[in-house]
Order: sequence, then C-alpha cells, then structure tokens
Amino acid sequence: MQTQLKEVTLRVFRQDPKREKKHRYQTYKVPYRRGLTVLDSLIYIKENLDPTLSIRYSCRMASCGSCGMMINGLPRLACFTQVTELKTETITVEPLRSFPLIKDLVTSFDDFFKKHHLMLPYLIRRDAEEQENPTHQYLQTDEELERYIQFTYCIRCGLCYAACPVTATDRNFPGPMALAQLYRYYADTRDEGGEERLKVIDNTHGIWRCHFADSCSQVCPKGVDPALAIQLLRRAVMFNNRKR
Amino acid sequence: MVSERTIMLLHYITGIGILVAGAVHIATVFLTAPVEANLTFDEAPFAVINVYRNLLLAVSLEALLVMVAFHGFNGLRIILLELYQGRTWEKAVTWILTVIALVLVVYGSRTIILAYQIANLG
Ligand code: SF4
Ligand code: FES
Repeated sequence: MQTQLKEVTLRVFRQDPKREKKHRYQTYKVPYRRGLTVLDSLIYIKENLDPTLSIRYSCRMASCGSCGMMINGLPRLACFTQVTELKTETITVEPLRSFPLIKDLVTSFDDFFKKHHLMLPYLIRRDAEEQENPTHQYLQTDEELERYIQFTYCIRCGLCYAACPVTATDRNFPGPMALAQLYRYYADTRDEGGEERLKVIDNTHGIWRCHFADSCSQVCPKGVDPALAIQLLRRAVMFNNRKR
Repeated sequence: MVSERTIMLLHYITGIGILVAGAVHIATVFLTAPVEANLTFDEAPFAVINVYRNLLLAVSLEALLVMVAFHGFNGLRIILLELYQGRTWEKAVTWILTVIALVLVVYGSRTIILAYQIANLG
C-alpha cells in the first residue's frame, strides 16, 4: 500500500495577522518518500514550492519542542509524525490552539514561558549561601529519583496547552506543563521550597481549575503525564503531605 | 479571605454530603411518608411535611439545603470565573452569588422551620 503512495497533499493554514484579518488554507502536493514526516513535508514546501510559508523547528528529533502544531485537528510534533501514520488523503496543518498567532504555523510562546517561570522551576535551598555555593553533593536514592524523573522529560512543546480545555478558556490558569514542572521540583528531595511553591498555585485560577479532562496526558509526546502531576499536586496542597 | 484550598475542601465534602443527605432525604420521604392512594391533592403536601415531625430529619434537610447552596453556587462561580477573567468580574461574581446563596438558605430554612412547626402542632 505504502509503496504506491506517490505524493501527499497538505492543507496548510495561512495567515499573517499583521496584514490579513482572516485566515485561509493553501493546498500543496509533496512527493512521498519512506519515513516522510509532516515537518519534512513543510520544509519541502518552504524550500521548493512557497518560501513565504512560516514554520518553526530546530532539532527534527522530538527534543527541542519547537515544531508543535495541530495536525488533522490534534496537537502533535510535526517532526515526530509520519505522514503515513495519519491515514488520511489530505493532511490539515494548523497552528497550535490556545497560543497567539505570529504567522502561519508559528505561535507565540511568551505567555507559556512566563507561566513556567512563575512556578519557580529551580531547586530552592533555605540557606541562601548554600544555594549559591553548595558545600557537598545532594545524593538521592533510586526511589527518590523515581518520584519526579518522569516529569523532567518535558520539552516545553506546548501540546498539552493546545489540548487543555481549561487553558483554552481561562488565560490565568498556569496550564499542564507549568503545574507538572512545579510538582517536579516539589517532589525533589533536594528542594526546600515546599510551602512557597504551593502558594503559587493555591488561588482562584490555580491548581483547582483543572477538570481532569486528561487531554494533556493523551497528547504529550514525551509521556510526561501532566494530569498525574496535577492530581499529585492537588493532594499535596490539600494535605501538604510532602514525603521526605 | 478564605483560601481556595479551604473552599475546594468544602466543595468536595459538600459533594459527598449531598449524596448522603440526598439519599436519606429521598429514602425518608418515599419510605416513611404516609402516602395513601386516597390522599387528596390538598392533603398530599401535609403528608410529606409530617415526615419532618422528627427533628433529626428536619436538621438533615437543613444540612442538605446548606450543602446544595454552597456546592451549587461555588460550582457556578468556578464556571463563571473560567469563562471570563478580570478583578471586577471576579469580585462581582463572588459577591452576587454569595448573596443569592444566602437568601436561598434563609428562605429555605424558614420553610423547613415552618414545616417542622406545622408538623408538630398537628
Ligand atoms: S508536558 Fe508534554 S505536552 Fe506538555 S509541554 Fe511538556 S512535553 Fe509538551
Ligand atoms: S523540531 Fe524539535 S521537537 Fe520537532
């Protein structure tokens, strides 16, 4: 079946918000080759068919998190999605939902990174001197590492924000990635910022607004499971049960 | 200000409380009210009111009222805060809903107390 495929059709979202009020879709045909990803197709379009198309990417190996977009209606990494796995004749490509549009498939991550920063994403030691000039190594057991290692795999791709129904409506909600990162540090035995961290998210638009739709975990390309982190964090805020 | 953590803790507790008190309420009304086939349309409400001759049941109904008011209006607050954000909006939503909930609880309590008195006066 796959060897018969000669070309793939991409229906690409186009809009430059500075000049155009409305978006449009442009269709391109890209020659098929084995292993062709959606990102490869977009690069082909940019290099051979239409240099005005704006895309963002870097690593091409699901590591940098910059090529997130809506592919056939679902948030996915373009470099991590092969055209054949989509099993549709035409592939529709749109910018990530819930992010402000810069141009075509490129969205602004300013607010996303601001929210991440608000979660104090670094180890906090009560002793300021120790924080700056650590005197020894902080060793952890395997079991201690397992409490948070999964949440360190996040590549800040933003797919979870595009899938989250709360992020779509509540612009003050920190969002799955930020909450998962807060939990990642909260659960780290080397960290002493417990109370300070929980205060950041115990408010009207904080942790409690998650409806546990679980869509963040469904779309996460790195298996981070932010929904799990949010539930663990909720329990922590409710009972302040930090294990040490 | 009450912390969001406390509000949500109460939200979960009242959610479970509503299930329990609601079940007790439905069970008592259906199982103990002297509903007879020949009750007239006018007599039927008094048959139900009669159930609340018992102070414990009247108190459980009052608890149900308070819990439903809190849980329901807090749920509505959450929906409204999620739909739109802004300080004025948030304050307005919180205060207006708190006042409506209080009025509802006061009016409902008055009804429960009246029913208790009528049932006990015979
Ligand atoms: S949690 Fe997953 S989906 Fe969300 S930003 Fe991190 S890697 Fe992407
Ligand atoms: S290009 Fe880096 S994740 Fe896709």
